[in-house]
Amino acid sequence: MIELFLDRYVYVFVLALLCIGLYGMLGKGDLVKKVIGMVIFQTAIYIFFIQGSLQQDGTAPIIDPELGSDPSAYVDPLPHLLILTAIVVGVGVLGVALSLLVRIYRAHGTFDEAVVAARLAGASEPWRRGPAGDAGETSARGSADGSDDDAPDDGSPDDPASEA
Amino acid sequence: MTSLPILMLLPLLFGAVLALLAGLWRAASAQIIAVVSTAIALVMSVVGLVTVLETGPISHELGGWPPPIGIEYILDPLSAYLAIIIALIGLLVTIYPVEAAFDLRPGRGTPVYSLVLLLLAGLMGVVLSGDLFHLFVFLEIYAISTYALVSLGGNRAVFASFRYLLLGTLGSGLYLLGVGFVYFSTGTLNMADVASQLPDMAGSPTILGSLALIVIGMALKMALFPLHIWLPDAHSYSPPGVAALLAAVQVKAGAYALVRILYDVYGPAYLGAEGLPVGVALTWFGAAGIVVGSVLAIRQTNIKRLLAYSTVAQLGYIGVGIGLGTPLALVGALLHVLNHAVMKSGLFLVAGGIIQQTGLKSIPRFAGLGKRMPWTMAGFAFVAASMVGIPPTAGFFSKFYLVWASVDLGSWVLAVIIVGSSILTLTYFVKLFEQIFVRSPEEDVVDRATDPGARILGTVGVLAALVVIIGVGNAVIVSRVLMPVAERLVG
Repeated sequence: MIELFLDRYVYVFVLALLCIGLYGMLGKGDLVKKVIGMVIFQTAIYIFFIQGSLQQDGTAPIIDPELGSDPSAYVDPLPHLLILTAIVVGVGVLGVALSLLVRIYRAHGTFDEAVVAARLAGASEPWRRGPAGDAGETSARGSADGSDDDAPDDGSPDDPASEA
Repeated sequence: MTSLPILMLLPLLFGAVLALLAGLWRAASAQIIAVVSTAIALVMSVVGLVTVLETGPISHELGGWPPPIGIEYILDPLSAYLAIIIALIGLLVTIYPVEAAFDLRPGRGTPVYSLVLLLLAGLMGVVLSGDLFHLFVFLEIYAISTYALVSLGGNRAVFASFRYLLLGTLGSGLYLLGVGFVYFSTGTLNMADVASQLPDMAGSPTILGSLALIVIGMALKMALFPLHIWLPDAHSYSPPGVAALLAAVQVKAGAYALVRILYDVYGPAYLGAEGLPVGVALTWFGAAGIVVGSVLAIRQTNIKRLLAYSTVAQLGYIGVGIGLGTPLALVGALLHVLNHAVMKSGLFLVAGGIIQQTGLKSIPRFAGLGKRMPWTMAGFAFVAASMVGIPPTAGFFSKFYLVWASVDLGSWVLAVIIVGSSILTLTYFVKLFEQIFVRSPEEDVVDRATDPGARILGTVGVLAALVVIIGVGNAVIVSRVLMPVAERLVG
């Protein structure tokens, strides 16, 4: 039993990291913590690939005349390559996530998901509502010029914006 | 001709770089480059479909490394069919005026077209890739461009985009984990190579685990109920042009990857694998999505939000078709991919025209628009008729194949759901029709509204015409392209 665990303990940790990451992404109410959870989740996947590439007593995957071309003498290089690519992709996603966070923080001054969602639902925000009481629809064209202000989307109160 | 697949992808990738650079020099030139590169991609895709129908699948070895070691691009009728849809919708959206499509002033659209081309290139790559990990890279390329494009729509869109980013990354993460399981069991990532090894491993828990992870990841990407929660916000708050791209082609890439991996890599035998009823799950979650999406759509008063929930319902049809797994059902699902792409992009582009001309998004305020914007609304009527499924428009036929397939399997409940949801669809479009065509103008903005310019009318007109052309010509599409594809996938 203990040997079984020692053989696979890395996978247990990977599973634990996946669960922590998933909890962070879905369970935390703070947007930054959600991003941290996302990174933990991705890192767990990277570790899973690296662990899978391991060969017991294997060496670096450069053909050694002494060892010949026996694949079991070398570590599998392909997962390393895949994970390098995946890390680059992950950095790209993280960059976009952080830049979105900057815009959210500039607009709302908080990272609390509940507060942001409530403010965007817009029910209690008189300054978001146009004179007709319909979220300033008619001025939507005027202010939607790409500046990161409160470009009003349609905020009709009966719109269940936060149900998702 | 073996380089044909790469020739479909490269114009979009080069265009993305060129559009950015040229846009810095002259803002307006970015759009021209975008139109030209998507047009080239469209021509290449059509040439590709014609070629593969004559000669059979084309395989391209990237960098001259032969598969299974090198990365392989595969062009077969299924991927060529999807590529044409992607390039066609991409072309129409890039022709659409920048201010209506992306809520930007003219001249400020420089990076937008670069992102749009990157999105299309990512989708094209997903469709053409013959390698499981390469597919993941393209999934992320299109996903990253999507997050940026969605966030163009103002504060709510930024928040919606952030939520979508988390769930989208979760989806591709699960997919990558599943690919890891496959790789460590088979030692290869090439789709054909994996497919040749999997039948020997039937019943292996690792393979079943990989299948579950990949299916859940892709269901998240294609927003299959109940994993659709990111879709309504992302699609309704993003600008109309972005929403059209997302609903028409972006979610379809997930559906395509699901079909390709489920049927081509794992094989139909895994559809009902012991302990993992993938087919049944996809079918009934799809059916639930049809009902829930339609009911929620009826409740909406914001036109874009209504269309977004309707997308959830329409993706349910595709899920049902993939899950049932008979040739007829697959034909229905694949035909619906095309139909829904044409219909939903048409509807979002009409919505963009309305928003540009009047600034209105709330349906109760649309009263009398039909009298002031007759041509736009005529296009809208055609496309909406197809959404409801009135013959001979396109929407009728995909539903017809799905009903036929479910009756064939003796699943009357499904048939009732599919037919019944047409009535639900009718309900929310009748609400729109009543406002637009029956009532007379009440608001000043409506009274002053006129038809938008030729580019908006032209793109909407093309899509409205396509709805009828696809409907009338569906027998050709089905018998020449889809039926052989479906029979090969299932057989």
